[in-house]
Amino acid sequence: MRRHVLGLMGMALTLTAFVSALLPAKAAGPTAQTTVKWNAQALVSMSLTPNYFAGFGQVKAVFGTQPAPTHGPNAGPAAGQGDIDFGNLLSGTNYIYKYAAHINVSTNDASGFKLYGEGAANFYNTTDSSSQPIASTLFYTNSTSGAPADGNTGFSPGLPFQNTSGVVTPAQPNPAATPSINYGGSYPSSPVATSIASVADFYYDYLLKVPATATPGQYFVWIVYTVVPQ
Amino acid sequence: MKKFKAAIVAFAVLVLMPIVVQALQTQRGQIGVTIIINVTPNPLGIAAPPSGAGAIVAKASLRGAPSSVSRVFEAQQLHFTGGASVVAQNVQRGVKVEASIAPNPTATLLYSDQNAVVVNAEAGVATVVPCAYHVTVHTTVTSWSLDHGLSNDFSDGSGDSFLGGSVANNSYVATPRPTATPFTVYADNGHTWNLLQTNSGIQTYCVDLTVNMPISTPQGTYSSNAIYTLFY
Repeated sequence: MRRHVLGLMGMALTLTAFVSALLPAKAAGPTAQTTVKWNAQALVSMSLTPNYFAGFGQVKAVFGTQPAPTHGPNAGPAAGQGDIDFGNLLSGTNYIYKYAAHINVSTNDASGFKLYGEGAANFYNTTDSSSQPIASTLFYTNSTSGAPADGNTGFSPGLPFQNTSGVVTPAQPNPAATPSINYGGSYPSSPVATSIASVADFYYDYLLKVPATATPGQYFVWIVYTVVPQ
Repeated sequence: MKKFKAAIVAFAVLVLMPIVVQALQTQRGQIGVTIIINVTPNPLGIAAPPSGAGAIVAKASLRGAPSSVSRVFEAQQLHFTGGASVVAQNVQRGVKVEASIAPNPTATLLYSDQNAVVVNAEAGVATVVPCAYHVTVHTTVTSWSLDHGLSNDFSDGSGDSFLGGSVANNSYVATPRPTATPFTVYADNGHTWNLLQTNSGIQTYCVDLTVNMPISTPQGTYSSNAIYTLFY
């Protein structure tokens, strides 16, 4: 048996040598440097922390000494928890919500990223199904991390959130589930922020300018932030 | 001499009376109208191509590669090691904003027909918006004062700004005034407002806005608040 195996191996080696002898020798062709380039799709991560600092909450717009912040039952109770609940407001009055949202973004894209923030719908009154245009009702303004203290008031300059033109899932109004927005690759013309750094933090206060014509009731809107690498 | 003194006293009374009266008045209402200005840059400084300019043709060739040389590079057995990465085109997070709104018993005393107005303007070019918004005082009081001004200079939230005085208003009940007056800015004006008018009864003011920000203003969206305060 052992001799049989050895015989087969010998035949195989002989056959290999024979075939190699028949093949033409490989020509020593010219060499050239080859550059291979490829695109790496960016990795993105984002965290959104509502009520991110102690002292978060709503303050009526006044000049001079500022009232103490307060908030509705769905905010907090501790910092970093709950919704941005302004609580009880009066129509025809302006308010600020301090330390509303902290957004941290990190990406491997060396060019940075764009941050978009839009309303999933208008400001919807669940009591009578009416709504107020979000673009003239809910605004945002830059805040601080808490140190130094946020010096904004309800009359600080702010920019409006827009009602998205993307496809919202689930359809609104839906207070129960956080929606997503499908932009189909066509993002809003104005980002909330643009960063050339790959890691950045953003701190925002919200401004609610309740129209005098707003009907009484319980209102809500989802604000959806989207990060897109540049 | 006595007559001269009396004239001085009368003059002083006439001058100081409105100030004293306003000081004795109580603030009854205060509203804000947000003015949002979308600034587009001024095209000055952009050189147009000459009229006879032809199409731009881009040519490229491989340096050091004789045309006689024809090579076929074949990549064989390229392996990219490492585990598969799940990559995201974008990432989204959402937060719910809520409020419980009740009627304001004094909201009909002083109000505007607009919460916010948007003006599209070009840097360095005057833009006029007739009756951008209205402000109404709705009271039977026979003598009241309406103050106005901007809360802040215009800011885009990212560090760019321009002076609030770049925006002028022409506020009138029936007939426009001869000229528009730049807004004063509360934050820059010793924390005081300007008197718009002393009037009586129910009055509605039409507010024409004239925006004339500096030509150097960077493109962006800027905002401030026009504040109206009622005293009587």
